[in-house]
Amino acid sequence: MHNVDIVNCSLSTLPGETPNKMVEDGIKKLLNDNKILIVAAGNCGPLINTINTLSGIRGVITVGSSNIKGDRLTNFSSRGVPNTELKPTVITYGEDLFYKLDKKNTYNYSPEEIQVQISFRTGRKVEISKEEAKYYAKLSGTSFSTAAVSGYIAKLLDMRKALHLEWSPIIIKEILEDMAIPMLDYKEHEVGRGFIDYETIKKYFKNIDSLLFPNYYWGNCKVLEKMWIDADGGGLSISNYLTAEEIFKIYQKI
Amino acid sequence: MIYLINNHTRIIMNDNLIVESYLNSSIEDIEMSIGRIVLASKTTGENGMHTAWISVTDAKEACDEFIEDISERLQKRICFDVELSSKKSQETLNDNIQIALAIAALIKEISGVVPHLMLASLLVKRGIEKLCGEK
Repeated sequence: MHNVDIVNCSLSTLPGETPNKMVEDGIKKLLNDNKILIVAAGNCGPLINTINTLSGIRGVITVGSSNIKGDRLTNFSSRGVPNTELKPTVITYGEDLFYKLDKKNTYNYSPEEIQVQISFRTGRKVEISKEEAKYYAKLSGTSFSTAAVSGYIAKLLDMRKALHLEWSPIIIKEILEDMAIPMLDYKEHEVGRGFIDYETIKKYFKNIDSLLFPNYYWGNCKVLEKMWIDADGGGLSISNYLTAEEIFKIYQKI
Repeated sequence: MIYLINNHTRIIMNDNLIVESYLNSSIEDIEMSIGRIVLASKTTGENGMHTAWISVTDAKEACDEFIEDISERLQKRICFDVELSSKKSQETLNDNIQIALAIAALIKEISGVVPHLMLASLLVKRGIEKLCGEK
């Protein structure tokens, strides 16, 4: 755990709920130890003041959900409170996403449909067989968006480390906010600084860091490629099989 | 309403503005948020937190069931104990925001996981007369 940089917490408080002491202490320790903490906004929208109250902690990155086109905030994504720190940081895909489950189902999605969506949202080519497609279901929720942003941040961190650039949770949060695409139809307490996805990060680095570091080439950064892919699909597994309580317990033992 | 989180952040919210926002929302939107909060509260883990992913979309049904379950207590508190409905003509209550805030104070102990301001706003939007069975 000493080498952990990013902690994905696909969990939430209820609106207005104060997190319990153990979670609060765990978060405090993680932040003090310079870990990047990413939490889900929650799925209690569309009213204001429904957001995860952990979003109010300085340095925590909070993620809401957009539709698959990335141009609309989902109805269920929890909203913050105008003019306060209770707000999402950014939003990303979180509605009707294809995910592979442990068991076969009867939805019968075509392999092509699954391939197109996963390739679109992750920026990598995937091939799904007809047999494999039977395990896929469409799922929605800000947990999925949170896992995706953990993956984006892994990529971002990977590049900053490769370039020997300074980083901290606050710096990463600021970069994330800076690269987000503003959504002019929405307010800050609804979408934070806007929409972000794999392409957004790619463009950001092509436009900014490649000017500063002409020898750097996006495609060379493979160190955390595996983690990036796992993070995109693995958020559900993390939240299902390893609870925040377990993460914090493991962490506190070290 | 004041939130103190992690001893780091102090967030002060204006109840009037929150209620005003709720009252400006549609009944359907309030029902969706209440239903989703009720559904989320049923996924509480051992750590007291809630997994933030959704598998059940019928939030409206969850909202209706929640209100049905507490309707007698709501009626007793609002319609009989305080007779808020008959006091609506009073000047201070002659405004939906003030009515919702007054109701919110009355039902704080009843609203459970659902924020009392949100529930009170829904009751006002649906009509207190309806809750109290008045014609």
